[in-house]
Amino acid sequence: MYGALYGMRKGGVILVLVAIIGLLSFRAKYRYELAVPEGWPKPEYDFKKNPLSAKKIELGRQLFYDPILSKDSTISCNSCHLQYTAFTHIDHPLSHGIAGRIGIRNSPALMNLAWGKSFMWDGAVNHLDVQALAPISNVLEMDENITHVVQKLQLSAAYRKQFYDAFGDSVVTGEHVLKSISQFMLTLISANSKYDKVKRGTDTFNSKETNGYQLFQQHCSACHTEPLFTNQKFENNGLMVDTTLNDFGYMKLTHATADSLKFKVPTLRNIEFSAPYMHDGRFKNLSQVINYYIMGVQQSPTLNPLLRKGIYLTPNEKVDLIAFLLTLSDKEFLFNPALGYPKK
Amino acid sequence: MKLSALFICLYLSAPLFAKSKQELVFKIVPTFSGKPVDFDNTYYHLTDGDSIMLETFKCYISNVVFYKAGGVIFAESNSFHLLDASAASAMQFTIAAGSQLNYDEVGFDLGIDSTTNVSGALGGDLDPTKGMYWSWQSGYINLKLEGRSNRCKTRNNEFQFHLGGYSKQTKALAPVRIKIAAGPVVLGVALDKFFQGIDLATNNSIMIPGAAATALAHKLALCMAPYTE
Repeated sequence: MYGALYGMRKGGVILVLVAIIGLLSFRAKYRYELAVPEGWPKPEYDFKKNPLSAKKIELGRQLFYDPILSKDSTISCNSCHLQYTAFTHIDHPLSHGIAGRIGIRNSPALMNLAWGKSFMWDGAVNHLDVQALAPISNVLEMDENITHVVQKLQLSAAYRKQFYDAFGDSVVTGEHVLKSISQFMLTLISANSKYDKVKRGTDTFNSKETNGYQLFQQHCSACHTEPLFTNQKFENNGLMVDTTLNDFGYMKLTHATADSLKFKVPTLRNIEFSAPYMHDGRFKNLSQVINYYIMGVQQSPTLNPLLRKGIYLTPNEKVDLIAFLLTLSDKEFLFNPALGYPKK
Repeated sequence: MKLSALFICLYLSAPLFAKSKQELVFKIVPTFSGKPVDFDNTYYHLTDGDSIMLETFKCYISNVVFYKAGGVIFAESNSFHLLDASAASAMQFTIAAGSQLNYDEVGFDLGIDSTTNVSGALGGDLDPTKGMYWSWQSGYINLKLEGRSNRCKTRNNEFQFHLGGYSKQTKALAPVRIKIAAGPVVLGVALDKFFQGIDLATNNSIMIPGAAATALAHKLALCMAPYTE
């Protein structure tokens, strides 16, 4: 009797084990591990709440490149965030939306978003998952709403299948749309620039780059902190207010005058490809940016104290600083086919 | 026929529950002068002589807790409920309490707590497709109250209160605790009382977090009381 019971229990244990192994191997098939580059901090994103899988990333990539997210199916995320230009909009100082509408800010370059503490130039978005809601709903960008996006996706047999494959449910929800877009965005990791290779000891800076790196550490790295090249804080870098936009940045969110004219410090990674620069795209090239820091900074109560005395660089030093900034270009990221337009 | 179906359901569900499970109804009834509001249809008189019609009442009720003599006897887990007056059935929900609750007080939050507000994309009643999430600035809208009044010199005489905000400076979440006899929870929201002292001529559109939103959210919470249908 006891033996029979024991046998049954043993059988049960084996059955459970087989089931667990089966489940694990199914999960392992699609599991995707995000590699944290050596020496980088721990990502901010909580992967436990949205575990990466190849199917979800692929769905997110599909959505990122699909203009179905916009009201008239003309604008996708990719319209303002092109891979070859560091996932930003080249040539346009302000981002363009449907029907030729023009937004109020320069679209930011997208990379290393797993480390992002807040999003948008004024930090209005508090989590990567809900970032996509802003451009989808903005009348100057996609002029759509997430409820209608979900309805449109639900009508597509191809998407129903993709949502089933990714989430085990063909019913499209706002949560699943946003989480899959997050998953794709989380894979936009740029950590293979010459700078990174030098840090890893597999490449070396030339003399100009070495000098430029020293100048960078002296004048820039307090805000553009390595290895992400942003301290993720909101700073007033002395830009004169553009009276056609009257954009006071972070103050809109906090309602505090102490935050007037502060904007999120952007990363400098891939800066060679992400022109124009600043929240309103006012500078067309790196030389203009550096000249601005030397001669153009406007004094105001909220100006970052480090910029009060100004930055002085000789013409040669300017050249060296730019030489260093160009070492932040990561061609493996910019031309990685896994991040590009999805192949059908 | 219906009765036999009920018995079959009961029979089938019996082995699933070791203890008898109490499904407690929680219901909100927006009222005007003590009667349920007739949305989209009836104009009510305001104390200043003007009239008002109510069109939208949507709110989040979260973190529902039952007390006896001041001590917690049951706290609902994953407690987030969106109530919407556009469908009568959507103004109530049920709580699966483990046993018969002999409470004398109920507590909940009117709105969504700050931790949930910074937790990314969520599902169910918290899904951003429910129309209760701001897109331009992250955060839930705790409460939507919309309607018309000839006091409002706005387009179509409309007023719109979208109340939310979770940061320290803009916290619109309103905690509520109400003494109530055990049984189904039915709470009235006395909107006549709410609109007393609100000058719709000047205060008719709140769509951003801030002091104005916080004040109205807390005022609405104070208009809640046990209601007998």
